Amino acid sequence: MKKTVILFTLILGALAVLYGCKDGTKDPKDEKKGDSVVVGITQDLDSLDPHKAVAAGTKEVLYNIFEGLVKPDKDGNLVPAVAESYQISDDGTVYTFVLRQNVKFHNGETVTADDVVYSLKRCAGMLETSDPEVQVVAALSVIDTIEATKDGDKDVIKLTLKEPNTELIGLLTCSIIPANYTEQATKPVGTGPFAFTSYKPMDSLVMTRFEDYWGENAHLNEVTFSISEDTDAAFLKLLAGSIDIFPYLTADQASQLEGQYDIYKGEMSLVQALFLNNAVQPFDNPLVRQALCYAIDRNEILELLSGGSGSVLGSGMYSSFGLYYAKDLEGYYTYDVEKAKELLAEAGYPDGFSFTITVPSNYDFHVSTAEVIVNQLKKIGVTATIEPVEWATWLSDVYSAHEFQSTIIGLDSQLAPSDILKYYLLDSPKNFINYGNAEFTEVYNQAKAAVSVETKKELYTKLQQMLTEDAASVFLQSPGLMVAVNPKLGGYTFYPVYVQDMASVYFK
Amino acid sequence: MKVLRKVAGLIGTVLLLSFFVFLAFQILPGDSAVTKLGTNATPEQIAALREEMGLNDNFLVRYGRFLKGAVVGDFGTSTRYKMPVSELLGTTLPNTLCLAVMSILMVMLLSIPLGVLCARFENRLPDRILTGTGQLFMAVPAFFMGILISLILGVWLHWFLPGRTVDFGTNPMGCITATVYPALAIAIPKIGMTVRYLRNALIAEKGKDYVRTSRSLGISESRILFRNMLPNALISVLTFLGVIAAELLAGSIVIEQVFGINGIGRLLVSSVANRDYNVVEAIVLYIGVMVVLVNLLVDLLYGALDPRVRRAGNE
Repeated sequence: MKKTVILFTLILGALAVLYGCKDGTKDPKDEKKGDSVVVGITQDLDSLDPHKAVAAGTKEVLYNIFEGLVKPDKDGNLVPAVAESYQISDDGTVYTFVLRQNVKFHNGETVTADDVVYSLKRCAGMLETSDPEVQVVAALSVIDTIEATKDGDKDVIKLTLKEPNTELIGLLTCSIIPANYTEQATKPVGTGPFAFTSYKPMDSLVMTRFEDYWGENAHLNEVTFSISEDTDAAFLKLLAGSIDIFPYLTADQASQLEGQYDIYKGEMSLVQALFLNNAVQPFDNPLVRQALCYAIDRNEILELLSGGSGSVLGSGMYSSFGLYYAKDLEGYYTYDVEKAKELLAEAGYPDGFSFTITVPSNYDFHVSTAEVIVNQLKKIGVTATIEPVEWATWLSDVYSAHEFQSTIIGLDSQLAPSDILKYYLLDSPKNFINYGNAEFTEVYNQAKAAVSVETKKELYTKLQQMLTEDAASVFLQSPGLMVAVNPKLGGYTFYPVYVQDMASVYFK
Repeated sequence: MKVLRKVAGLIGTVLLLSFFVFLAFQILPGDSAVTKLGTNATPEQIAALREEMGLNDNFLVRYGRFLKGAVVGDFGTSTRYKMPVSELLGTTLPNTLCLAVMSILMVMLLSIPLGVLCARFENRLPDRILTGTGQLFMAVPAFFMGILISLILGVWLHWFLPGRTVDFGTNPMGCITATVYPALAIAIPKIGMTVRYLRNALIAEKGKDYVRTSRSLGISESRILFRNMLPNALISVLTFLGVIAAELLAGSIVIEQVFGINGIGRLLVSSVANRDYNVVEAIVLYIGVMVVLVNLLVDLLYGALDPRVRRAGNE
């Protein structure tokens, strides 16, 4: 019997040790210092060098550390940053930037014309020795020469283009970095309102306020971007109060956090679509593609997955593009099961057909969208099967090799209408859906080169119409973005591009 | 002689393992260059990066290069994180080891007394309760256990702060205290299994002749249980503990993800997804060595604990 007592004591002892290991925290929220904030993200950063970063999830973080000659503001305008002002010649072939004086890099050096020329050349792939990891912006290949001159004591950068292009300004957000600095990928240096402090793979990136910022200093002293494995893990951290801002809530999570956090609703600024491979059966038949457009209820998808924010799309562009956006196309295809069935019968599939939706499994959002679509298509007798694949597999099989029937993905873009429509050009490697309309390519080139806003508007509207009428794919939505923000914080702002601006955030 | 044979076996196993992992990546679609460059890449750019990463070389040439480095402990650089693989493992491995040791300790400290308790009160109330809850815990998937613990002990009771992780390298004590809860999530299902295993082994001993003889000699039940039956039963439990230990030292992928621990399990998953060959190979090599070593250790312990095994080994 004595032994039994000892056994019980041992077990109790073990539990006591467990309890003894508690952190000794009261409410974790009280512990926080007044001016530092933790932001939850669910993607590890793919590079700290802004010219090498690919993932939207990386760019939204680096936005706080780097700036281009111009940068987007919350209304979708491009405002001067490292440049103080800019001018585009009337014929759209010469861009002149006057550099702001005494802009400092985080390492204390002043930004020189050399740094700017170097950065632009690196982005445009014009450096003599190129690093293959640098993401060359293909649209910048239109630049013929980059010259640095002086206007009084001010530095002036002059870009001369091979052909007119008034949209290029939207792509000149390319980050300005110190010339020939080799440690950008491990110790990044930029000119933004926050300076890089540390990065730990799979764990976090820490940045601190840059006191010598040329503009108004950020309010927060320190921002930590804390990396979670997925939204579920991040949700637990939110519940426990160990993160202050989390931008990718699902609709369910958002409703659960109501009261504990302020929930901000905005738009992701992405073209999410069920992309159909126009070159393979049965999607080589436009009637079949149109049938799917009628059979998929985009409003239901928006309601189920975007929690009331976001907006449905009718073509390959979203509303951030302002006057170039063809809003009336949203209603071109209505939800109409009968019409869809008729079209299928006409196309020779009266009893429907089966196909596969290949979805990158790391994007829960796209997988959920696929699930809704599978259900909706049952009504017209079409059986869709979801095939989740790793991102690496998606890139090589779907995007590069075009070996797929359909896929769901969101396309993001710079603030230039030609950038979001670059996926549908004949003979372009980016045209992964094999859209085969030669007229589209022709009009695209005209639109890009056009100088007058009216002509541009007309041509871009025409392009969007073509995509819709040809049913190039089933354009779904610009998904809603639901952000949880600690109620003590103010100033969180949505941007028409995918960024998390921490400079505007402050403690109330 | 025996040890030499074991070591040769170890090297063979690890070589085979690393070769198959290399082969697997040969077959999997996508490579580090494609993954690194993403959707904006031009074919020329991918080709240039492949060249730079040495991916254009023949498969066997690349495997040879890897082996050559591995022999001197140089696993190259991570294509994804741009740092030496050794540095990446230097921060993640201690965290995984800390978690593994902590959970193995919990399993051993809790399941042995509990198993004895069950066997002592076979089919009576304590046994019924413990076997029942054990059954329940075994059925709970690891990630769910992790979420439950975070929710109950972390979010509701504030015993700890989910998401707060400490690196063993920077603050060993802090890491140990922070690791208790994830270790618990790993240990609970394992404790359920071990208790059951030990209980059954002990009950099987009960029916044996030596127990009857001891009883007839008037030796007390407790003495028989602790002095005679337990050591015998533990020998068979040892194999089981060995399997658990090997599994835990290889890093608990799920628990590391749920608790956000910066360990090799998470690193392995992310490296496979990014086709970061060097990192994957290094981790797989480590796991292989660990499994083989733990098995070796269990074998040796058998000999130490069981005179029959020792004698058989000598003949």
